[in-house]
Amino acid sequence: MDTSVISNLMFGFSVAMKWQNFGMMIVGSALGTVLGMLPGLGPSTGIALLLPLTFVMPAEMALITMCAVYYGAMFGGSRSSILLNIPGDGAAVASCFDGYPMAQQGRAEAALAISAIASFIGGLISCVAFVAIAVPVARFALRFGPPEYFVLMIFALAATAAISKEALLRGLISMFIGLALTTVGIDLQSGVQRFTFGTVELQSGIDFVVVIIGVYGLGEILHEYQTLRTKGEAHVQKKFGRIWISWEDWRRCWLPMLRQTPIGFFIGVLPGAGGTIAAMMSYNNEKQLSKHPEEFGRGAIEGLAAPEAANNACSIGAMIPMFTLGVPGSGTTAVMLGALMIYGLQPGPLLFQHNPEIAWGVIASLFLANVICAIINIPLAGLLVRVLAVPPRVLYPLVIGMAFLGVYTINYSASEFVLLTLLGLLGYFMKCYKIPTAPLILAVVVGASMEQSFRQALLMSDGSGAIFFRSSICNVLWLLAVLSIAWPFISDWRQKKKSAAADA
Amino acid sequence: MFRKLAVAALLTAVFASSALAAFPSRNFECIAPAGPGGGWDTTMRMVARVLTEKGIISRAMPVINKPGGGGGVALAYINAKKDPHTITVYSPPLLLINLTGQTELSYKNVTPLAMLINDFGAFAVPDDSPYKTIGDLFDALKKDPKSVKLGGTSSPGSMDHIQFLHAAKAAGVEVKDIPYIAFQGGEALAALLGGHIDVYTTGMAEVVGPLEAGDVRVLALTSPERIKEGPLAQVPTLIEQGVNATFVNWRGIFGVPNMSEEARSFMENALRQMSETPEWAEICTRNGWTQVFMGSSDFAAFLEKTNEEYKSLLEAIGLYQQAQ
Amino acid sequence: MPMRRDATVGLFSVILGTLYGAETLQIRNATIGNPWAPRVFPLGISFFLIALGVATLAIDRKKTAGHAEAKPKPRDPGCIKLIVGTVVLCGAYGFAFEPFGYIVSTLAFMFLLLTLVNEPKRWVSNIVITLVFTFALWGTFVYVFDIMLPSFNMEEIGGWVSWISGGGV
Repeated sequence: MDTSVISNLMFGFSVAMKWQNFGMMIVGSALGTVLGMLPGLGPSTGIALLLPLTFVMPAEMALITMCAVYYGAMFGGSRSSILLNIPGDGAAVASCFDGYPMAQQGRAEAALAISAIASFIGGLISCVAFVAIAVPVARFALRFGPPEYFVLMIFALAATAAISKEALLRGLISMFIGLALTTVGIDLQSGVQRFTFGTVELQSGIDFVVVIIGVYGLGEILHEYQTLRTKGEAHVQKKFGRIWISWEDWRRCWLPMLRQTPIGFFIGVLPGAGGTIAAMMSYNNEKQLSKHPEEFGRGAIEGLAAPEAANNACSIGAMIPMFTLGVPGSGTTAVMLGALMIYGLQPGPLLFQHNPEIAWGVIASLFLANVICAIINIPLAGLLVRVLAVPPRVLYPLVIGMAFLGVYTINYSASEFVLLTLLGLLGYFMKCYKIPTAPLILAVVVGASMEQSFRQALLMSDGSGAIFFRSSICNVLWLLAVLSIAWPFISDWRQKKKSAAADA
Repeated sequence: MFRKLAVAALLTAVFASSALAAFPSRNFECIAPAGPGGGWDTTMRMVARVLTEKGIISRAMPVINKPGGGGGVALAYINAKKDPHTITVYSPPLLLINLTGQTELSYKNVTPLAMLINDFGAFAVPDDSPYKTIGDLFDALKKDPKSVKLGGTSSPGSMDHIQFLHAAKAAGVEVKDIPYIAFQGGEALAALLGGHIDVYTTGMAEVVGPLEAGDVRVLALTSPERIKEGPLAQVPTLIEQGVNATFVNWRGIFGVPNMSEEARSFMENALRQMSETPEWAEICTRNGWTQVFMGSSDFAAFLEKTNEEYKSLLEAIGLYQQAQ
Repeated sequence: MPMRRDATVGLFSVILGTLYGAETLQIRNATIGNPWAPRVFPLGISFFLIALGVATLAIDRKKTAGHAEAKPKPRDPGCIKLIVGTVVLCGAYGFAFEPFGYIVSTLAFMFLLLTLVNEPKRWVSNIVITLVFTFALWGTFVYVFDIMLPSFNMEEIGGWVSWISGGGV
């Protein structure tokens, strides 16, 4: 890192530390955390709501506020995953896997604490990486074209479907149901309507947030109804401890956080992949690396720390294409890019020359917002954890009500309420028949872009499938995909060999 | 049953009387037919801002995004509205999504209030591309239409695609076989910079940044005349390069179908006043929009004429489709 | 005896794959490029759903020869009422939300849902929770987030009423 970077960053801090900007950063972080917690309202809704601010604020202040909201939403997104098993958005789905079991076992305090700590660490490392290596990483990311994206998504899906070896077939079925859901709507490549059954509402497809809230949230509640009257009160937690973690927890988590951060960061830099893939891949990866994979899904704290670190790293990484190339790295940064344009500013590398106060001010604000969010979130968690004291017979109706309102804000239309209800039923039956829901969720998030990448690649090659093996990136990803399906079987076989050797 | 009828009559009476009140009688609902951050969204927000800030309209004008179907979802929403306090913004896709059969609704299902701005298309290639002029590109296409990979952000048959085919056809290229790859959002620019596509057809605003940074070369603009200032001033138009074609991305404000004469003329006047403010002029310069103003009835005639033009263009390309 | 789980899942997958495949064939030809292009991906999905369903069924046959399946979790007697009731209320809420507006429909929805789940005998707390929830969220959305929520819409209800009375005549 040469000295000009340091002095530029210092200049950035001087911009971000101006009291007006710093004050807006605190307000934005708090608002973002609240928005992220509510199911259905995520970072992109939050930033869209802030667009009118651009009328009254100077550019750097508006962007700093937007970044703070974005960041706060990433911190807040996993609160409802941990406490209620209802992810606020796609990136928080992986936080349910071990976060919710932890809360059920009375370890909600530790879960909330590690989620804030992991987010903080993942974010901080990524901020440093942003400053140090943004340009080369962004240039490398450009080598991902449609074929590479397609294979990347195959890898992510294969790893998620194979997450439980016993339910491999059901995991795959779940994945294909998810993919089928994403084919609804107007086909981007041909403009042809598919599975819309003549309705306007389905033309734009099924929003994945509706699927997440339906299958996970509503489905979970319907499933819990089965034992509401008999065991419903048993889950109510009366005593609450401090929001912090033990040394044992820390010992288990530090390495997973450090090694999953780079994965999240790089996925974030890819314009065609987002937080959900980052979180899911880091979870799968951590389970494969773990010495005790059987604890995953039953409240393993590192199973929560890994995706939390990765998804915050991803949100920082997503800013890189915007700043270095002028290409939005995610839906949220696309809105920020729009805000820059409203000011008549050109996003891209020249922003650093023409408007250094914005470029460096925003980068410095990421460091600060990361600290602010961590500070806000720990005491806030102490407050939030008390929802566990509400008996489910009251809590569930409230959560259902909020879920509907969250879904309303997606398109400002109630037409998705019926869909949400149907998806809730689907989630209920999937739980009854022990079909894992994670592959469906990931498939819904990536399915549309996966098909588009597939078709774009075939258009590029004039129909030849060889394009999916055109680069070493493709080939490595294929190998990883095959390995991740085979891995549970391989480790099983090694285990057997080991125990056979021990017996002899 | 009699009671039901009585209730219906009563409700109708209440509604009818409220419609007679002076316009505007309540807050507006401004629809952006796409997600936040894009051209439609920006235009709608800017219009609403100037109208309220300058006190031309005293009611609140919150902007709501209704994305989907290339604007079709919002179109269906507006068409079902009877309250004239709902307005929206549209551009060529309003006609194109109908002509390619994506929706049976068309420009006839909204009331044109005023055309406000013109914007133009741009064709960009990577900086190290072998195509130095638009002529090089069209020559390559004439030899082998499949040799060039064309990418854009709108769906096939919508604006980005059509503006390129329109130009290529004028240059004598057989356009039916040119593959077009549709991307979403910023992915098209990333694909161009990564060399996964050869040409990026898009709006002017999208190419200014990478052009200034030296990442792309812009071969041509679809404007009738050269842009006066900014980095795009060095880019020649199609006509300058001997291709007799222009493509205008016109943008205007629309109301619900069957608006009352009073409401329509109120809105037309409000928009006219707005377009004469220095604030609006500044917004247009900043966004690189060409400022125009066309009143309601002229705009309606323009739409009818333009619809026929697009129709014959789409027929020639083989993309015309009657809505089902 | 209830149906075996594996068999049901397999059968469901096969049926879904078949219906989905049949619907895929109904998709219109693309006017540009390969006319079959919009169908390729869905056909692949349909194929895999059927194949995976058949595989699940085959494994199920092998298994039943051996050991029995684990017993499902015991369920409360009244849970079906709760599930069906919630689903019906959610659907009704969807239809009522826009014509009746947020306040009216949410007050009714939350009160009925709480009556169902939290039992009618706690009606006092149900009313209080309903009021607090409805107005607190209204305030948050409208004043903090600046999100418009639908209000009572005379026009749409008028349309409904005349539609119903028209059907009556």
